[in-house]
Amino acid sequence: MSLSERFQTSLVAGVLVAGAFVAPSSVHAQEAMYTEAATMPSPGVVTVRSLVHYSFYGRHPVTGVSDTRDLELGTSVQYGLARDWSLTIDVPVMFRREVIPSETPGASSSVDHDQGVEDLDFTFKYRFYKHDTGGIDTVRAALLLGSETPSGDDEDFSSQAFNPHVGGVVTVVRGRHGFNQDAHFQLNTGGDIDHNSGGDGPDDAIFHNTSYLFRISPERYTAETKGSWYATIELSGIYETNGDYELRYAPGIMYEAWTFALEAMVQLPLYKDLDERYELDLAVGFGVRFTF
Amino acid sequence: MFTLFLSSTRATASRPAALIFTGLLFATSLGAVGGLAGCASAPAYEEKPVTHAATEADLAYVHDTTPIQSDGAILYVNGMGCPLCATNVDIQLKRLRGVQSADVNLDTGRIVVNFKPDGPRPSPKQLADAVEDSGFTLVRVEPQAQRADAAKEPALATEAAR
Repeated sequence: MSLSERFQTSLVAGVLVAGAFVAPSSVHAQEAMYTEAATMPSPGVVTVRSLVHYSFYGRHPVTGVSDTRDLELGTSVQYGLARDWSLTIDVPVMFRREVIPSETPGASSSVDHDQGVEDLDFTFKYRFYKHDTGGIDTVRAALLLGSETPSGDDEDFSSQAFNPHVGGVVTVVRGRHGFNQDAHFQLNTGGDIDHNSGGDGPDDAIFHNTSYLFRISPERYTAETKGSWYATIELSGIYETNGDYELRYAPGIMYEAWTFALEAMVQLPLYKDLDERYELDLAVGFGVRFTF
Repeated sequence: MFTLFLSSTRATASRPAALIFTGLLFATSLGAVGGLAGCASAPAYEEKPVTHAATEADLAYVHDTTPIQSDGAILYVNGMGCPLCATNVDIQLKRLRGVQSADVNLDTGRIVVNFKPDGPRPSPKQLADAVEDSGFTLVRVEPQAQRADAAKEPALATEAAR
């Protein structure tokens, strides 16, 4: 990647991150970092969310590339199309460092730095069920339909293909307890096995995520409540039709105030049976949401 | 249990650091939250569930398109589970013509709406649509003969807890 391309990518990343801080938005909550929730902004309202992930991957079983580190700056913009319809656009900007082993025996490995924009993702969400059973309690369900689209970046980051996906999500809130379960199938029409860190390769993929949120403070809302602390735990699975399967868990915390939210988590491998993609060793994530 | 699972996966140099970070993350959050909210000294109790019941007349009134002839209204809403949710419904209600303010009380699941003194009055149906657009359910609307400012809310909360 040339210097000017690096500058352009950095500029895009900066604009996206800055946009997350200044764009007028409204947000919805009871949503952890990886798992969808059957919630959405109301009509005409925009939600902007910025997430930063720093991920460590082990050796790639096919290419032999080792010690890959990804810094992903993700910006998600969700627009309320109608009462039960929303459109989400995800723009992930990636900075990658990887250690490439030499093909010559005895020679030292080289370190490669790269950056770019991964596939953009467009997802429609349709909430087809909502049953508010109490002042706080609710049960909701939504369908997810969308597609990854080429970002125009090189093959290191973009699959150069349209990868449609379909799925659903259920959200249940009972007092201090929140539960989300999502699953979706992605038909991968492109993808590159060399840079597959989970669902990015040429094989189709099934993603499933489960999240549990516990409101640790306040125990009970009052008229003076200014914010809420949540402990979160997520379980995320990625299955590919080549047989690779990985299960990850992610404990975290989240703070919600009236106009903003902060979240942090650590993602770790729980189970993995991988032959054709990177193995995750550790990921650390931070997120911020604003409303005004 | 997690330890058993982890031991079956490939050992990595970063895992101990991750486990330490995870522990610190939770310890910090629990400590910070306990300190901020005084959880350690607070009595342990289960949150009393707030459920708004409505008669058929209440439900019929929620769909009434006649402007409310009062200075404000109290909305009984189900499904508001968090502060950010409250902000969302606050935005939608203030978009209505004639609405001056909307004070959300998550404890009681109620919203006190004040109308502009010289502005148009919204109908119960318009209020219900704003609440539904926010993703919640309006169960009951109570017109207020006098302006229901924030100072009166504690008394109203006591009434609602009966």
